Amino acid sequence: MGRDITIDPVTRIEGHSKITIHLDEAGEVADARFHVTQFRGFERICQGRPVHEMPSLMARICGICPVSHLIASSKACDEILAVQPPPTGAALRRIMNLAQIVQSHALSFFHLSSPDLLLGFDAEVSTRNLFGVLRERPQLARDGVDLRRFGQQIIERLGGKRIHPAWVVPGGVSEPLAAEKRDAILAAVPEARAATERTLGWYTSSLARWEEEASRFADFPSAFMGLVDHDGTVEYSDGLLRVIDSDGDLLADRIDPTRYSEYLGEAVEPWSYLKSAYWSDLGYPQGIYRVGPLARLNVADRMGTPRADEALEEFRERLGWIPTSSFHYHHARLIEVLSAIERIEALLSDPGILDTRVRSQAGINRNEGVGVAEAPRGTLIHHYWVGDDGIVQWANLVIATGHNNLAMNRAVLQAARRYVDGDRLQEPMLNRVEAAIRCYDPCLSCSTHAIGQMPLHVQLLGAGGEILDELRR
Amino acid sequence: MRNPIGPLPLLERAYIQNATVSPQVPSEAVPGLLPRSLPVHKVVAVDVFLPGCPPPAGLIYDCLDQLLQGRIPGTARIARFGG
Repeated sequence: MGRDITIDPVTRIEGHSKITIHLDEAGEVADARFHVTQFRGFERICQGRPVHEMPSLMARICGICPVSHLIASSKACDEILAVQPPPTGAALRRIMNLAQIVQSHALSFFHLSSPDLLLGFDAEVSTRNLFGVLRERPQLARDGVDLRRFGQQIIERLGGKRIHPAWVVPGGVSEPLAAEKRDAILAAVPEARAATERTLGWYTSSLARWEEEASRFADFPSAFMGLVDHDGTVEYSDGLLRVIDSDGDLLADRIDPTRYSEYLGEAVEPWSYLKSAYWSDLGYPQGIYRVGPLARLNVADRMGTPRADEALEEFRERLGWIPTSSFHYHHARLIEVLSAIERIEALLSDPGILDTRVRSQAGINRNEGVGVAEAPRGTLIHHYWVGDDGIVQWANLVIATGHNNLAMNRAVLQAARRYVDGDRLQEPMLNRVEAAIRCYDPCLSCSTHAIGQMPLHVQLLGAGGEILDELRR
Repeated sequence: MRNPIGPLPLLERAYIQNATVSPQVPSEAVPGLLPRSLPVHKVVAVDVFLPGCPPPAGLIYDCLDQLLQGRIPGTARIARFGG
């Protein structure tokens, strides 16, 4: 008779979840599920609120990437106001969005994943954390803390505070940038760039150590989706959707992301609060696609900045044009950090960045608006409907981690098939199932619009549904 | 903010109205929602409240510093939550 394994809770990711692994009668892994167990309900809570409140309200979905929600929400509001932010307002939003990519990627790479990478996936749990990294390789830990601070300080300098700044508003931003703040940010660029280069150097020289994991972690064909500009360069704040399959063939190119609902569907499974987005033409669940750092690199022709383009070229020489293992999200994150720092420097070096016209004013000119931007974890979509009085009547949110849900479930199944042996939970299996999920840097609070922190809970279930083994951390 | 709405309309918006395949409210292996959201101090005793969304880093530091010195930080006079 069959059995199930449950990992509950899963650790070092953002949010609450558990994993169940189902064995068949022969004791082989039949299925594995990544259950997201939290829910808040922002799509309904915002109903009845004035549309100008939406950026600040929706930013409360997440304490790690509030800026992404601010950007997507403000863009949806721009549509409802039928305005374009002044060029400087748009550029300032871009800088904050890039700073958010840097700080969030730093958190994911250094604080959450580097303990596995540096100390080994099977290192003692009590030392496999940032403090363990600090003991083993202090520079790596320091670079992580410094890069996170670099991103957070930019957000604070622009918006007045690091988390939930109220500065990004419908029509642009609320305050222009002062010269001394620009100078302070620019002065921090060289050290941030050096920290990223050091880390990228260490990572690429260590890749051979992780060959086993790289070939086993969620290595499967799927589509990839991300924003690009008209030339096919990676784009984070505006841009058009490009979707490719794992052979590199285009499923869609440079489509207007506000038309997302013609291309994407959202499916519900009874065992998770996280919906699964799928590419409609391929149907559910065949329409599996990935978003986020690896997907953005895979769909784009180039990063669009000098050093990041060299790093992308090296990435492709090593791994091929379209790497399919989710392990390479880590590598992609570092290249994106490098590119974001280069982009921030370029945007701030334009004297026009100090222009004081940063916000376009208007009343309610449309009843519907869609805002789309690239969050650290992937494409983020906010879609609102409002009455002529500007009161929100309906909202739909599609969040990066929802796009990746099918892929995360596939990753867990693949890791379970490789590492589950017998009807007991073994540490190496747990460590790798968790680490496979961590590649996607899922933000479960965002994706179910809920709040919380994530411990690890795994259950091993027999064919009859009985719990064979269970492990919590 | 969810209490005037109630749990079912929240769940229906997300999983029935805003879904394209198998719309349904998840109910297997996930915890159900309680009828009302409660402030944390209604469920567990809370000694110290730190205000802010999020609380400023300096306030967290100051609070920990006072605790290490054996004092209960007196933030109650600057912040009060819920009823």
